[in-house]
Order: sequence, then structure tokens, then C-alpha cells
Amino acid sequence: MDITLIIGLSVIGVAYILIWAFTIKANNIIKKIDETGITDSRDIEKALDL
Amino acid sequence: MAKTENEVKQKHKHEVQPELSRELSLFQLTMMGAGMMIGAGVFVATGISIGISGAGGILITFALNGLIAICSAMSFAELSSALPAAGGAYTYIKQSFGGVIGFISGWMNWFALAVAGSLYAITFSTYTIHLLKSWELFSFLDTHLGLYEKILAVAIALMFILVNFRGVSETGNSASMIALGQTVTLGIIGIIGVAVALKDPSRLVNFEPFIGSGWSKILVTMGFTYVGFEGFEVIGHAGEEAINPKKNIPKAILYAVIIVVTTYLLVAFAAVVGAKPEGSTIMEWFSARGATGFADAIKNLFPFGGILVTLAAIFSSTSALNATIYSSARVSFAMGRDGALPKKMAGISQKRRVPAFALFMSSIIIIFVAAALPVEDVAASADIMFLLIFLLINVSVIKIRREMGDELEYGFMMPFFPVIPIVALVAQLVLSIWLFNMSATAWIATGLWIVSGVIIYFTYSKNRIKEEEPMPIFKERRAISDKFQIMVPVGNPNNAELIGNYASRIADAKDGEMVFMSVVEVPDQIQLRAGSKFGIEKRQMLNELRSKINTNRTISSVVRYSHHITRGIISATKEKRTDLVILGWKGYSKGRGFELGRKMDKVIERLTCDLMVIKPGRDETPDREIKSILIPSNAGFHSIMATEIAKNLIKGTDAKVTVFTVKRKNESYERIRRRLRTIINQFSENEARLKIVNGDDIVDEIVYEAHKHDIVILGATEEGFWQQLLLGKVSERIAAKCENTVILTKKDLGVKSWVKRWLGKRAF
Repeated sequence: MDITLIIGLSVIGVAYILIWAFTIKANNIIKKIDETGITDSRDIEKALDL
Repeated sequence: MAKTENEVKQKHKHEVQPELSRELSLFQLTMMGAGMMIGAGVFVATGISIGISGAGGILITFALNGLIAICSAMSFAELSSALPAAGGAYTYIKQSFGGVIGFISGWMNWFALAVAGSLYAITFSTYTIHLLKSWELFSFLDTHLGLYEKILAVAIALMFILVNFRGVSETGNSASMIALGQTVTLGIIGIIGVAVALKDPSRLVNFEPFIGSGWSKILVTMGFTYVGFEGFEVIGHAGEEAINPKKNIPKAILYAVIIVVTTYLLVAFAAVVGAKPEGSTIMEWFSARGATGFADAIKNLFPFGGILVTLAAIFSSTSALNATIYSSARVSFAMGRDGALPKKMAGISQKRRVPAFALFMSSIIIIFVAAALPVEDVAASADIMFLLIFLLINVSVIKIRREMGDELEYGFMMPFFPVIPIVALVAQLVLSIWLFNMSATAWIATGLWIVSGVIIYFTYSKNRIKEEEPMPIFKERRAISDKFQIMVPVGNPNNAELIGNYASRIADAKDGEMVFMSVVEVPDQIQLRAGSKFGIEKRQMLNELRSKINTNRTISSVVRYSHHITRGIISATKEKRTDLVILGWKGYSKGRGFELGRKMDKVIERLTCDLMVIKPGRDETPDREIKSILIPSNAGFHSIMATEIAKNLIKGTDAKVTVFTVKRKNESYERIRRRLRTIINQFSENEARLKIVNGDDIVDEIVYEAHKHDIVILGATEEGFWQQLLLGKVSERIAAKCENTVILTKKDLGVKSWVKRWLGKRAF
């Protein structure tokens, strides 16, 4: 199998998985900030371990 | 000394609150961003990019660009959640850096949006001519193809510029529907591509070799297609119109990116599968077709595929063209207000209320670039500008969190900070530099624009840039009382007092509260806050109105700023959980379907609470005593509400009510009495009487009887669609003919009302 095909498909796969992972992670952060009501940046960093 | 409750109430009565109309939902915001991204980039850039980096190259391009976009989107989302009122790259970068960098970011943002407008105009012309020349009648277009494309691009740009000068724009809802339509269309095309490949795996041979001309070419196409990944910026612009912005704006930005990346990957796959190189390589096949290669490839996938893509490109590009014209004008207008550009740029025409000079200057750029540069150079110019702007956004997010994090209230903070913005900004720097390989002209144009910006800053703007003008304080949230809420949208000062007095009578009867609201329509080309100067007259009007209403009930007066009056009223009723809306009606008809006027009809259709529409009679005065009320009724849902209103109006008076109906030929008196018992029983014996008459024409009989009474209260009729279309609604026909005061009532029935409307039940 063509090595560029393997590398290419891997790059596409990893990039697409990361896009979803970031979106899910970000969504959880929005949800947690909304639930806890914390808005100060230092408090959020501590509470959510960012 | 402590204030008495009455004093507090009186004070509350005398404050006119300005408020912004928050009406864009998460769905609308997401679709706004997705629509802007899909606008044109994918239609023009996909074919050209496959020609440069090959079949697999385009998939890698879209996946990696998606990754960079999601990183930048998180930066943008964090800034928009911390600074939701401001909105837009220029404001965030100005807040972070100020000085020359702040100025240059606005200067570049203006140019980038205008050039993107040129790109969308070219996309429209390219695809329209591609469609036309497939018909023999337009075969002459082949002779001077480039010239015709340029003429059409300039023509469509001029048309939409004119539309913007007239202050007309799409509503949030229709724009989001267009965006949804184009996303779904492209998604279906992508899925068909996958299905075709599964059915006929031999088509996958188009992916060999997977990377046609090396990784460096992929960097070129990543830069070249970046314009298709930047449109989420428009969501930030809508910060002051969004419902729950701290939560919804970051979500919408991220959702828009993920929708667009998935769609792009699917359609790029479909384009490769659809191509039929036959004797040439796939790159040669797409290179030969240029911007319309994408449509040619989809044409081979399924019947009418080419036409579907072409129509989608035409619709998408016009929608995006309109949005970029007013967005670019909005940036230059904001720079004019800041003093960074001449004050004339912040001028607003009195007649149309649009920033005419800012629009004019944006128009010059859009038309010049569309006419003078080839599509590749136009796209590359927009790409470079957006890449540099987002690079600055990624620096800003680090700077603002480090320096101002304690002062701001965040609704979202990105994870893996500061790795994500650093990765994004490095990638954007590399891509922007790499684009020199694609278009040196684009870099020259960008360089000249930046240099001219620096010169303007140091020779003109530096000493003129001022602090932001103080804006009125806009209340974000207010406690909603449990009391019965009546809203009176005030448009016409001539009958406002009269309508207000009716509201006051009902508030007394229901122990309720009143909101007198006037909506200020602010054109799309300027921010809602910047439209506060239009609200002065409305505030005066509400102040005068309040002083005339003699009541002990709580009155809130609100000037609400919205880009659309209809949406402004509807969103306010939802936000304030209004129970009853009272509208005034001048009483003229503009034809079928617009019985109460186009805007009022839209409000009535979309309201989700009870409604009263008052058409004042010829002799009506605000202080007139009501002695006699006529309720024409057939005991339908809406006439029950008419009865409730009548009860409220006669409470504490000696007024009498006549429940009136017209007898049908085959109906007995006993049956009518039985049917109307529910209505008549609402009143005491002395308050109401039933009157039944024989007659052929319901409208004429009611109008004749109405002369003997002070007010007529009608429940909305529920005729079927065709009857309404041919005759107009019975209630509105009566209101139009009657010289007395007529009150139309409509009970909120939720979904059932639609069912009933189509079934066509008679109410009289």
C-alpha cells in the first residue's frame, strides 16, 4: 500500500478526531461554567483544572 | 427617610429603559456562521485546490484547516464570551493591543471582508455563466467568457450594494434557513458521493496517487481555502443580539466549525469520486476546469447534480455577498466612530438610517477587486488578510487572559492554554507566508494595504483615536413578576394614549402590570448599541405617554433596539413572558394577506401569547366612558377571549354587553341559545343580553348592529386557507367597514390553532 496513502489517511483521521475531541471538551467546559456560575478566570482555571 | 411603596412605583414609572433585542438562538447563530463559511469558498476553491494538491491533498487540506480553525474558534469563543457586547475581530484586537496594531487589525478586517465580498460576487458570476452557457441560447458567452464573468460579478455586487443602501436585509430566520439549506444540500451531495464509491469502488482509483504533488502544495491549498473557515467571525458580531450570549456564542462558533469541516470533507470526497479524468490525471482534469471543476465533477455523480451544485453556489454566494457587504461597512463605520478614520465614515443617512459613506467606500473596494483581479488572486488576498487577523486574535486571547482575566467574566475558557492559540498562530503565519507561492499579486495587494494603513495611522489616526463613546446602559436581565403581563408595542403616537388606557383598564381588572415598548429599527450595517441615537424621539414619546396614563399599576417603559421590528416585538414577548399584547391598528388594508399591514401581520402570526388589536373609532377619545359593548360570537375559542376582554372592560362600570349572532337558515333558536350559553353565562343577568337576527350577510348584519354600541369586540375567525385567501378574514372585514372602535382578539392556542386554521372551522 502506498505510504503516502497511509500517512495521509492517518493525518485526516487524527485531525478529525481532534476537532471532535476539542469541541466535546469545550462544550463540557461551557456546561460546567454555566452550572457552577463561576466567571472569574483564575477560579475557572482552578475549578476546571484548565 | 425611607421611600414609600408608591414613591418607588412612581419612580419606576418614570424610567424609560433602553434594551437590546436578544433574539438569535443557538441554532440561528450556528447557521449564521456555517452559512458564512460555506458562502463561496468550497464552490470555487475545491476544484482549483484538487488541481494543485491532488485528490488526497484536498482531504488533508480540509482536515488540517479544520483543526486550525477549531483552535482559532476556541480563541474567538473565549474572547466573545468574555466580551460579548463588543463583537468582532477588530474590537478584540483593539482591546488587547490598541495603538497601531489595533488600527491595522480594523483596517485589514475591513479590507478582508470587502475582498471576500468580491470573491462571492465572482463565485456568483462564474457559476451563473457556467449554468447559462450550457443552453444554446447563451452559447455566445464562450467567446469572451472572462469579460462576461467580470461584468456579471460587478453587476451583482452593485445590486446588493444598492440593497444595502436601501437598508433592506435578510431576517435572522431566513438567513439561517438559507444556510441550513445549503449545508444540507452539500451534505446530501457528499453522502451520495460516498454511496457511489461504495457501489462502484473502481471510482476510488481517482485517489491514486493520494498526494499528487507533495506536502508543500498542501500548505498552499490550506492557505488558499482558509477563507472557507473564517466565517464564524460573524457569530461574534452578533454578540449583542444573541440569547444567552456567554453560553450560546462559544457553542455556536464551535458547532459551526464542526458542521462545516464535516460537510467540506464529504463534498471534497464526492468531487474526487465524481471526476472522470479518462486519459489525464485527476489534477490535470480539475486544473483544466478551474473554479467550476467542482460542479463538473458532481455532474457525473447523479442526474441534475451539476445544476444542483450550481444553484447552491448561486444562492450561497448571494447570501454571503450581502452579509459581507454590511459586515465590511460595519467595521469601517466602527472605525469612523472611534476616530480612527474620518468622521464621515460614521455618518448615517437620515432617510434610510444606513452608514452611507462607509457603505460607499466598501463598495469601491468590492467592485474594484472583483473587476480587476483574477479569482485566484482575490481568494488569496482574502485568505492572507484573514490568516493575519486570526493570528492576531490568537495572540490577543493570550494577552487578554494574562492581563485582564481578573476583570472579565468568562462564559468559556479554552483548554490546553496557551498551547492551542500558539499552535494556531504559528500555523497561520506559515500558511500566510506560503501563499506567496500561489499568488504574489495577493501578497503585494495585502502589503500595500497594510503599508497604507500604517501611513494613515501615523499621519491621521494616531492623535484622533478616542476612547469609546459612552453607550447607554442596557439591562441584560430583569426579574419577571408573577403578575399578569400586558405589553403595548407603541408605534403610532396619535393613538398611543387610547391604547394605553385600554391596557390600563385590563391591568386594573387583572391586577396586572404594563410594559409600554417602542422598537427602534437599527440597520444591519451598524451595531445595535450604535443605534441608540435613533431612540431619542421614542423615549420622549414614551415619557409623554406615561404621564398621560392615569393608573396606580406598575408601568415599565422600554425602548428596544432591534434590526427588525417584528423580531424585536416577538423576542420581547418571550423574554418578558407576556400574557397579552395590545396593538393599535390604523384601519386600512393593503391587500389580501396584509390585512393589518405587513409588519403587524407577521407579529400576529408569530406571537405566542394572547392578542388584542384595537382599531379606534372615528369619535373615540382616550377618556370616553364605555356604555355598551357588542360581542358578535359563535362561541369559538377566540370569542371566549373576546368575552374575557369585555368582562375586564366593564368591571366597576354600568356598561352593558350584547352578545350577537346571525341565525343560519337551518338552525333553531334553541340550538343557538344552547351554543352561546357558555358566553352569556360569563356575565351576570344585568350585564349581558343575547340578540339573534336573521340575515344573509354576516358582515353587513354585524356592521349594522355595531352602530348602536360604543365598542365591538370580535374573536379572530378561523376560516380555512382558501376562504381567507378569497374573501379575507370575516373579523378584519368587519373591522374595516365599522366606524366604531373595534377590538380584535386572538387567544394563543399553540399548535392546535394551526390544525384548526387548516380545518377551517367557522366562528360566526
